[in-house]
Amino acid sequence: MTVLEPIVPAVEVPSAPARSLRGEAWRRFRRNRMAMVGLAFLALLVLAAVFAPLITKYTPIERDNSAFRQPPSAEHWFGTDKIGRDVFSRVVYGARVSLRIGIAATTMALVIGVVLGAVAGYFGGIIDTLVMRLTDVFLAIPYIVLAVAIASVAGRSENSVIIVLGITGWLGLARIVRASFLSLKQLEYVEAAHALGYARTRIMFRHILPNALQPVIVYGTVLVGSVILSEAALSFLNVGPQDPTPAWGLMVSQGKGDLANASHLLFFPGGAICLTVLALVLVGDGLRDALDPKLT
Amino acid sequence: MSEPTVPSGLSRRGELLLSVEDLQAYFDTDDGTVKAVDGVSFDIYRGEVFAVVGESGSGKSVTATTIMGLQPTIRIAGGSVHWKGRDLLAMSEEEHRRIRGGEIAMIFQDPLTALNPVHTVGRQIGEMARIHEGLNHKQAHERAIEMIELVGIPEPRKRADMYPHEFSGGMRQRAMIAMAITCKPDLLIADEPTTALDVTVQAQVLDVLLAIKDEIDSAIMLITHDLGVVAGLADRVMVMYAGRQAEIGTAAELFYQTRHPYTFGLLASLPRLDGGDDEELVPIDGSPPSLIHVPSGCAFHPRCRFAEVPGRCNEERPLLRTVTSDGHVTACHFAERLATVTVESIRTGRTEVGP
Repeated sequence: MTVLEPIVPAVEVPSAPARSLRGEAWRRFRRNRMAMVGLAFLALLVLAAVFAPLITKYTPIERDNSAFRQPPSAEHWFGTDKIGRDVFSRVVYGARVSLRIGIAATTMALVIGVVLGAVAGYFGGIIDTLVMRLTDVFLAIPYIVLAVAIASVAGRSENSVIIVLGITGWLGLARIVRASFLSLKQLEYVEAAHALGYARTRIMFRHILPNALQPVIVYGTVLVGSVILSEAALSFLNVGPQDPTPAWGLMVSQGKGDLANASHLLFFPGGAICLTVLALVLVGDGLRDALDPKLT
Repeated sequence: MSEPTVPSGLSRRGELLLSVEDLQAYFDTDDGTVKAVDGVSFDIYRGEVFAVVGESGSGKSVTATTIMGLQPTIRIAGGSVHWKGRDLLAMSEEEHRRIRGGEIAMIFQDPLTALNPVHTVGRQIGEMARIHEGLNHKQAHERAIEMIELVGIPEPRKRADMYPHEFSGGMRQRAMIAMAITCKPDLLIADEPTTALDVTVQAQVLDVLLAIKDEIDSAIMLITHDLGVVAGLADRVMVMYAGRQAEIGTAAELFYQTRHPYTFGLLASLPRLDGGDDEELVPIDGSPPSLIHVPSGCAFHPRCRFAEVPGRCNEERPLLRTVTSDGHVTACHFAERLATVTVESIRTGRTEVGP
């Protein structure tokens, strides 16, 4: 094949190095100090969860029979609980439980929400109506009732919490993704993709979805926080993981009788929940600003 | 007929690619049926540039997108579309999809919005080859670079890894062309390919389009409202009005042996470089009709300076009929009277017609 002479002169190539979209977003994210604080906290939390055995002196279920409800000391940094377990180890190991549930349930919600939202928004019509009525049905069921129901059938465990929060967490996501698809599918590059003979699933997930990801990433980040909070609530109500699992919500629940004499039993796991959720919200905020240049 | 017959180029015609016959494509809306395409027939042969001209809403884009199967809400009320002898309208979605992109490709009006902002240009071009020819990632990337070079974008290797927003308008349109021609289609449908570009870049892009056409031995269906573009590029021209055909002929026939008042209207409203300083442009009075309530008889009669109303023009819908040569057809009851009319006579207001 012969090659056409370039008609555009070569000087038109911009001399400045082109920044990638990701690099640009990261540059904007870094400028947001609060989001960076949140990110640093999350990084620490993940490291602590991964290397829990290295930074704790005790295992989370090990009892010290000489020390019940002891306040924080050099030996037990966060004190001990009413049966002599080290609260610091339990909070650190609890991060594993919370992160595992948070990430697994959010992943599940993401998959369901993105697929259903994409299908509803892209195809429209009767499919859209069916999906949207399905979300209405799920919105009408309080997740705590569902959690109790599932816990009574499948037993109280981490996995049943993940399932409950996964199948109740996708509603908002589906609506966000559907709304994005409704507007994006009108764009010319989608029509162009059709005109070039691409299959529908390819157009949905390779061409439209990447353009709809920005709100999904933000919502997903915040959703991890909200899942962790819900998990704590379920544990507190005794429909979540069971003792001796070091779940933060469960620890708050077990310590609630000792508010007056041993408040550290509430303070440390409760604080861990608050800080983690706060960090996730801050990061989500930062991501929203970084991914949407119009806001800054 | 008194005037000499202009060679219509019939003898040079290549293989018949697309054959549209009496296509009627309607949109059903709450307000009534929009007859977007109302009885349109034409053929496109390999190697030619077939231009479709008309105002906004004349049905030229809908004709193209219907052929491509890109109008999910449209109702085909009648007619047929044959692609290399196969009935496009009766095809399954899957068969149609294989033809799109592979054998018929489309170039869109606005290169700003027709490229996906989240993928690199090279990836978007290469994707065509991956889907229609089954190339792997690496081969597709090489093909993309080859195509980018072919449409005359400098530094193709570097450009392939860039995003659409890093391209200028003209380069984006070239990238669109590269994408459309990746699988060497037999027909390129270009829907106002230069409308969104500035004038100097327009000419470059059209040059690329023509050179590519010869390179891959295809045909081009050029949809435009710009008669200047048509004059320089098209072999044959179809003028559309209100979803119907007004006139078809070679470019020379349409410009110099015009036989439809609407074509005259378009020509008279076009500025000319060789016109005098005091040359006035003559607009077509009125505005295009609603496609729900198309005027009776000839759709153009309310705006036509030659119309006999009341008379045949508002009572009888004119059929397409052959005028100056085999390939020159027009839908005007009084086409013969227009033989004495010129664009100049319309501009100077002397519009008396022949017997």
